[in-house]
Amino acid sequence: MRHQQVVMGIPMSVDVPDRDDAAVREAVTMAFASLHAADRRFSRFDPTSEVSRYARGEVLVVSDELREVLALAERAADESGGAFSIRRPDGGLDTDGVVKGWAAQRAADTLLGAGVDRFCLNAGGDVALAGEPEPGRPWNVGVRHPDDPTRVLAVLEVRDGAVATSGTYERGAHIWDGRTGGAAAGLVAATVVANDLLRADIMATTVMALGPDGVAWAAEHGAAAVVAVRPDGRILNAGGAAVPQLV
Amino acid sequence: MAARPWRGTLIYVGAVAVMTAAGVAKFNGVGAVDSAAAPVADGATSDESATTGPDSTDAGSTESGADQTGPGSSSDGTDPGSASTEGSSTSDDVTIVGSVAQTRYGNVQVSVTFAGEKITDVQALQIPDREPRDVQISQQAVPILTQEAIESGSARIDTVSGATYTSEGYIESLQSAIDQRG
Repeated sequence: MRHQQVVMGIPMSVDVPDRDDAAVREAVTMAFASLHAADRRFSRFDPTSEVSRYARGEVLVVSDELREVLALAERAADESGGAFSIRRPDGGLDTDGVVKGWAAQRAADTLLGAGVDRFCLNAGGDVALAGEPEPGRPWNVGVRHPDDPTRVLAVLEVRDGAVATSGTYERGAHIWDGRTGGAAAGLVAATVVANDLLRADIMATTVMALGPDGVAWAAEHGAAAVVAVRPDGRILNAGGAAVPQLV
Repeated sequence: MAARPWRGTLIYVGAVAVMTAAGVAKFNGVGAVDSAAAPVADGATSDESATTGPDSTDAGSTESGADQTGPGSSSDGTDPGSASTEGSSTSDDVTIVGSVAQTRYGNVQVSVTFAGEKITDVQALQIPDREPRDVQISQQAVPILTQEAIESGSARIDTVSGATYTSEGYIESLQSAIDQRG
């Protein structure tokens, strides 16, 4: 079965090959419910969300979920020498660099917990994969070309794992380098393959923040593969992902 | 969906050294930290994907990686002539000794034994002797599809990773086409 729903303003999809039974449908419903719950809690655009109230200093008892996200952000900041930061240069709080991957991995864990062991969950381009789409074949995950949404730079073969991409091509230079407060301009896109989406997503954002040096950094911090594109179109890669230069 | 707009994209079989290393890590339980991450490798990009042995359809990143450790690795090896085929225990078994792949973490060389299209054994002949670094490295190898696989149409893109933040961005994306394909 294949199911799609808009969460956080983005169509998200789950593909479960060869199954369409009640148990799978229930698991998928639960997975999307957890995504919606994360959206409600962490929406920056909803002034009544917990993260908005927290940013205004109005939360006395922090939820386990927010505590977990803040801890993850702190760890990412430590590991990246401060390049990754949920504090915007203007002082505002922005947990988006953690939340999408965290929420999507939680949804993936929901599916796994319900016994769904083969699926592809795509949450706004952040992808969690389990098992194989068909026996003997890995999931083929295209990496979007930064200049053209209908083309791919590379196709990564992944069985159990996750692929996350961060880039400037849709929202502009919205990622900043926490060390300098300046916009991260060294890369236009970064894709990271890791064991889970939580790590992959944080690392993709961190690679963007670190710039070209982030590619080797990610390889040393658990990335199975990294594909990054510089503003001049040069491709940097590490891990299993050797991609030829754009012509 | 759109008629393979990605088809013209150049995609190489790459990172021979890494895949070799992944095979080493998986089968021997050593060197995982060093080798699985061995990034790559400009020089390891192989243009010899056509020489890849058995198909990598059989499961396991180790296998698909190891498939390419043989002939392909000669492209960056110091000794292109070293890949060789030796008879071994049964008539169906073929052992390929890969050439030495130089990675930034040291030299890697393996032998891979095939029984038909199945890999039955991988032996490390050389592995980097550096101390494992104090980081957690995924052991998952991520082979890139071969250009041949893509052009022959045997490669199907299941999903696309991209920085999609809006419905507008999604609608124009390849992922949107894939979701509609059902």
